[in-house]
Amino acid sequence: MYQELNPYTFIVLAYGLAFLAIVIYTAGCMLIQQRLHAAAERAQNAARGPVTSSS
Amino acid sequence: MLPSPRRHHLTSLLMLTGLMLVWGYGIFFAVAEEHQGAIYRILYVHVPAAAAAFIISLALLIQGIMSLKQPQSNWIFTGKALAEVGLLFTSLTLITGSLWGRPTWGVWWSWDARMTTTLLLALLYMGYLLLWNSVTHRDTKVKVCGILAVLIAVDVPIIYQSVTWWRTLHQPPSLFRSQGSTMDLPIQLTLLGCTLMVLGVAGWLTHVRTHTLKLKNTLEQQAFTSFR
Repeated sequence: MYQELNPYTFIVLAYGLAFLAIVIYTAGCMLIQQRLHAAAERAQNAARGPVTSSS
Repeated sequence: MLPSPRRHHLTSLLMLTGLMLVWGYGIFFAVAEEHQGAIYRILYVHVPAAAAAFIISLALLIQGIMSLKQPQSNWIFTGKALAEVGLLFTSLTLITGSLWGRPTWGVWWSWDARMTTTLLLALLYMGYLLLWNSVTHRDTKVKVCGILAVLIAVDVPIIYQSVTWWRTLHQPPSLFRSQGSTMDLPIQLTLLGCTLMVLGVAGWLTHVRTHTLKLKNTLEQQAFTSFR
C-alpha cells in the first residue's frame, strides 16, 4: 500500500490545508476588526454631533 | 482616537509570509530522511501545530487563574481568543497527523492513546468555546471556563506521556529522550525554526482576536449605555 501512494500528495495536502486554515482565520479576524473599527468611528462621530458652519 | 487596523494587517501579512517561507523550506529544501522518505516533511507542520496547541493550553490555565483573581478584567476575552486558536492548532495537529498516518501506517485513524487524548483536547477546546458563548453571567462564565481550562491543561501532559505509558501506534518521543534525540541536527534546526514561526503566528492571532473581542465589548457597552 505504501508504494501505491505518492507521498507528495499527502505533503501538499497537509501544508496546503494548514496554511489555508491559518489564512482564513487571520482574514476573518482582520475583516471583523475592520468592521468594528468603522463602527467605532461612526459612534465617535455621532457623539460629536453635526458639524455646522460658524459663520 | 482609535489606532488604525492597518498596522495589524501589515503584521499579519508579515507573519503569513514568514510561515510560507519556513514551510516552503520544509517542503523543498530541508534534508531528506533516510527511513521514512519524503513523507517525514509533514513533521514540520504537525509538530509545531501540536507545540502551539500545548503551549496555548498552558496560557489558558494562566488566563483562567488571572480571570478568577480579577473577574471584571479583560482577561476573559484572552480566554476565548486562546481557546479559538488552540482549537485551530489542535485540529491541524489531528488532520496533519492523519495525513502522515495513512501512507506510513496504512490507516487514517486509530483509537490509540496519543490520538484519542489529542481528539479529547480538541473537544475540550470546543466545550470551552460553547460554555464561553452560552453562559451570560460574567462571574459564572469565569468560574466554569476556569474549571475547563484546568481540564485542558491536565490533558496535555497525558497526551505527551501517552506514548511512554501505553503501547501505541504513534511512535515514542524522538526529540526529548533520556538517551538523547534520534533526530539529526539539520532536522532539529528546521523543526525549531518552523516551531518558533508557528508559535509566533499563534501568539499574534491570539493578540489580534483578543483586541477584536475587547473592541466588540466596548462598542456593545457604549450602545447599551446610550440606549438607556
